[in-house]
Amino acid sequence: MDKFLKIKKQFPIFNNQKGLVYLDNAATTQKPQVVLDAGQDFYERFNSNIHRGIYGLSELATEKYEQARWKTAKFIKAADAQEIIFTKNATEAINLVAYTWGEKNIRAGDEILVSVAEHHSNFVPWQQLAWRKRAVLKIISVDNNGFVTKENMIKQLSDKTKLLAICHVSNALGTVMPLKEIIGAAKKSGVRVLIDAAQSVVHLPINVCKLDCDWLAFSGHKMYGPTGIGVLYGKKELFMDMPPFMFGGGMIKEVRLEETDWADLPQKFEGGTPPIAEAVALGAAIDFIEKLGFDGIEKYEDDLLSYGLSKLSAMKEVIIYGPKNCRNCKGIISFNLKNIHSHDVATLVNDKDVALRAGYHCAQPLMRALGTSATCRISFSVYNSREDIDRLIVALEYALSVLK
Amino acid sequence: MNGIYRDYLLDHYKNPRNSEKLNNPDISLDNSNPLCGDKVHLELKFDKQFKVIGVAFAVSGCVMSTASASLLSEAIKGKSKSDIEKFNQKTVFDLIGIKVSPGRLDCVLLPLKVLYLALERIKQK
Repeated sequence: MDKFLKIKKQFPIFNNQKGLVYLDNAATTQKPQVVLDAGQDFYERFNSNIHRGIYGLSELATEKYEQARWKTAKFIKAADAQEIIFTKNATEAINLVAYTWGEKNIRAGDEILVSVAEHHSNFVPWQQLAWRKRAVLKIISVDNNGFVTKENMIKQLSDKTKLLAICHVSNALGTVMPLKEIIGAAKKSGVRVLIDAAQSVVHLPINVCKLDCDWLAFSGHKMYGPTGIGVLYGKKELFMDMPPFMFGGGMIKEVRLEETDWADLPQKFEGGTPPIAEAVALGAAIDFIEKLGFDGIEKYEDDLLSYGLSKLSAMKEVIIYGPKNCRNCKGIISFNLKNIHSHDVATLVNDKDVALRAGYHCAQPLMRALGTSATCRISFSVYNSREDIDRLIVALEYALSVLK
Repeated sequence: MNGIYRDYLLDHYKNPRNSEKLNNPDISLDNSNPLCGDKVHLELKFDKQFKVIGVAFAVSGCVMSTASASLLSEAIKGKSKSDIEKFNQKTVFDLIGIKVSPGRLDCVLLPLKVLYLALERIKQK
């Protein structure tokens, strides 16, 4: 526990924004010095383009980049580093699958399943794919606590279902979906499964082999890494069958006037100069997380979540969305103050240096299903503390005093 | 310090002006921003010279949209239709009196958007 209380010191932004209570980690996380240093160090000591140069510096840069890929594979227990594609973020990773596997394999009348709780980045690409292909988009509802259940998924399953796209953790509610049983049921029907792990990868350990998902996507900036780097994991045999997404340099073997041969994995899906320094910094973020260890991270964050829920529930004006306890939840609480607009709450708590998010959280279908249009959302990270939650409560009391 | 929520804005939020429905308005319409839940109901009544003799703005929403509607309602009263047609974003920003952050622009401008819709409706009549 002790080492977590000292962690904030490793994040320079808190020296520059003194007094800031940052509770919007689901939007993006702050960066520890080691991650900032890794990116800077790359530019100062190793910067070169990768894969093609025949000089020492280029070989060093390539080694650094590929080491980041290997680290990422190990981080999510992928069998092979070739199953890791670097993209610019999770949204691009998901779109990559929609535009390649989706275009090739989805036909008119096929069914694609998504849950109502999906972030727009794991909802809109499939909606649009279904529209383009005249396929059917079916929506799995959540239960009263905001969980997608195996039973609800099975209700939408049919012999026409080709794909299930689902989040691991809801970005609006923090609910952890029971993926093992959901994927198990989907696989029995021969359905391909894509997991949006953007909100889970920083809070709990992921094992893609045990999950048996076909693809998994996440963003670096939500796990202490820089913006501009995302990861698409995919089973090798699927990647080999999928056509390329972005065409150009780096993803070719041979270009003739009339046709082109593609590069092998993973380069086939990494056209153009990739975010090299960002990948290296992502590797440093993975090191940072692994040094803390998920056992410690989960214990610390679960305690914060529990404390946050109990303090918020004690305010009579607070409405909490999703589960009121933290079983099977990670790091996020959505709430409102009765009769007060979430935008007003966010504006007023900002006066007290508390940063939280207000709005629809890129999850408009879920907001409608919950019967609201906007909520306040707080989301935790390893540099938050019980003191942050206490300051949030004071800020909420202040908001109430101004508006009532 | 209330940050951007100056006392007069809070006053307009807690005591919105011209929010009572009219008798026989010439125009009555509703609009909302489904993304944040703000709802605006607008009624207008004109005399024979097309001067505004009655306005009602009823808002269910945040401080900014409610205050904006209340301030706008006071600015509309007694004006001619052609005066109102010249109202624009600057009109609203001048009434609000403080710099509005990009995240709150939609809130502040919603009542004006509804006013434009009302003027369109009148043109069609």
